[in-house]
Amino acid sequence: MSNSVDEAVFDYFALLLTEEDVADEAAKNIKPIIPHAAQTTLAATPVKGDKVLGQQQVKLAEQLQRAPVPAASKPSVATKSASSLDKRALEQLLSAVSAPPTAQIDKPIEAVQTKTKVADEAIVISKIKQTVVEPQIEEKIETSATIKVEAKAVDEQVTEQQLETQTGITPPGITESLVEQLDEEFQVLFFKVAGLTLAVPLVSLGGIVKIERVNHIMGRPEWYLGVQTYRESQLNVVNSCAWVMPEKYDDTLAQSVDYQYIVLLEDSNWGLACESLVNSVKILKSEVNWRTKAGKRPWLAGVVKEQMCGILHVQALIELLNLGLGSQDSIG
Amino acid sequence: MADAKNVAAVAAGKDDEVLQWVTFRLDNETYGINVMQVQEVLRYTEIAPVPGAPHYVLGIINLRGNVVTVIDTRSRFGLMSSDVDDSTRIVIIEAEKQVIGILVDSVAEVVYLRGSEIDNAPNVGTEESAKFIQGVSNRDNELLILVDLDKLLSDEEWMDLAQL
Repeated sequence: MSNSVDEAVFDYFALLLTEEDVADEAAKNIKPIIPHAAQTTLAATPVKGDKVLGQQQVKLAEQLQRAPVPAASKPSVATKSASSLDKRALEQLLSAVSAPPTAQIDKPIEAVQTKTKVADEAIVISKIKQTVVEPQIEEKIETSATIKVEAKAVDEQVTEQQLETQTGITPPGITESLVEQLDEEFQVLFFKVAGLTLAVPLVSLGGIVKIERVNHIMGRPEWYLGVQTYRESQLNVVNSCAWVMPEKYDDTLAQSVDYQYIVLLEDSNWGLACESLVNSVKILKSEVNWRTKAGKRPWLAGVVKEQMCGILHVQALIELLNLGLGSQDSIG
Repeated sequence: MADAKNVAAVAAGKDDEVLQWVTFRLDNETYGINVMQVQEVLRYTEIAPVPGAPHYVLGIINLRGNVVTVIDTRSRFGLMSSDVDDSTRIVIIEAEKQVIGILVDSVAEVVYLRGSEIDNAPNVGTEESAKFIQGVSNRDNELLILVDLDKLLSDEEWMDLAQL
C-alpha cells in the first residue's frame, strides 16, 4: 500500500475520531455543572436523618432541573453521556457496590432505615441524569456514614441503568432506525477500497456483483463510475474511493484503484465499487460506536471498534446518492 | 366497457411504440440518435475551421453546395479528442430546424427499440452534458445511451450556430 493511501486511511479515521471527541468534549462540558450544584447543596446542608436527607434530595433535584444544561435534559443526550463514561468510572461505581460495607457497620440500624427511604428518592436522581452520579458519590462518601448509604442506593440504581445502557445500546438520532432494525448480534461484510475498510450490515446488503463492463455516462460527477447491466437492469456504480475520500482522490489514487466487485445497497440500483471483500463476521451492537449526531457524513452509522472501520448507514447513503450528493453533504 | 379496454390497450400500445435509432460509437461507448433526425452519414472529409467560432464547432464542410457546420461531439460529451481514422464518420442531422454534422468515431447500425425498453438515465449529473441523455437501454448486454439531439446545444448556442 502506498503512503498516500495509508495517509488517506489515517486521516479518514482521525477525522472520525475527532468528530467523536468533539461530542465527548461537549458531554464533558456538561458534566461539571451539575455535580458542582449538587456538591454545594450537600456541603451546605447538615445531615440529621431521613427527613433532612429527603429535603436534601428534593433540593438537589431542583438544582439539577434548574441547572442551565439544556442538552442534558434530553433523554437522548443523557444516554450518550452515559455511554461516554469511561470504563474507569464504571469500575469505580462497581467497586462501590461490590466493596464490603465497612462504613455501614458503625451504624447498621440507621443505615438500613435510611437506605429504604432514600432508595425511592435515588430513582428520581438517576432518572434526571446519569452523568451526575460519579462526582456526586465522591462528595457524599466524605460527608458521613448515613450519606454513604444513600450514595450506595444511588450507585445501585445508576449501575443498573448504566449496565443496561451499555449492553442495550440505544443510540439516539440518525442511527436509531438502523439499530432497531438490527438484532443484538448481527452480521457485517467488510470490504476494502483503496486500503480503507468499510463495513455494511448484511441486512442492508443487496448483493455482490463482479465488475465487468461499466459504461461511462457523460456529465456525471467524478464519483459516478458508470452503469453496469445486471439482471436486465442498470446498476449505478459509485467510485467509492472518489465518493468517500474526494479530498484524497487524485490521478495517482485513481490509477492505483483496481475495482473488482460491486456491493449492492439494499434493493436500490446503487452499488459501491470495491477492490476486495475481506470477510463477513457477526458482531454485537455494543461493538460499534454508533453515531449520535447527524453532523457531516450521514451515511456513516458508526465505527466498528475492533476493526476500526466505518459501518455504513445504507438508507442514508442511498438517499444521498439519489440526490446526487457527495459524502460530506448532509441530507436536507 | 369493452371500448374503454380497447382505448386503454391502444394507448398502451402507442406508449410502447417502436422507434429506430442510429447507433454510433464514441470512446468505447455506444450512443443512439433518433433515425428520423438523421439525414445521412458521410465519410470523414476535410473540415474547414471557422475563425472566431465557438469551441464546440470544429468547422464547416461543403455538402453538395450547402455549408454544414460540424460539431465536436467528443468535446461536447466531455471526452478527450482522438485522431481521425478510417471509421470516423460525420453524421448529418437535423435538430432545432438546423442541419448540422456531428463527428463520431464510427457508425454501427440501426436498432429498433420499444418505449418500454428505454430506462431513465441516472439523474445525478449537474453538468450541461448530463441534460442531453434521453435515456439508456440494455441491448444484448450492452448499454445504449440515447441522445436527445435537440438538447445537444443550448437555445443560445443553437442561435449562435444559425448566425455562423
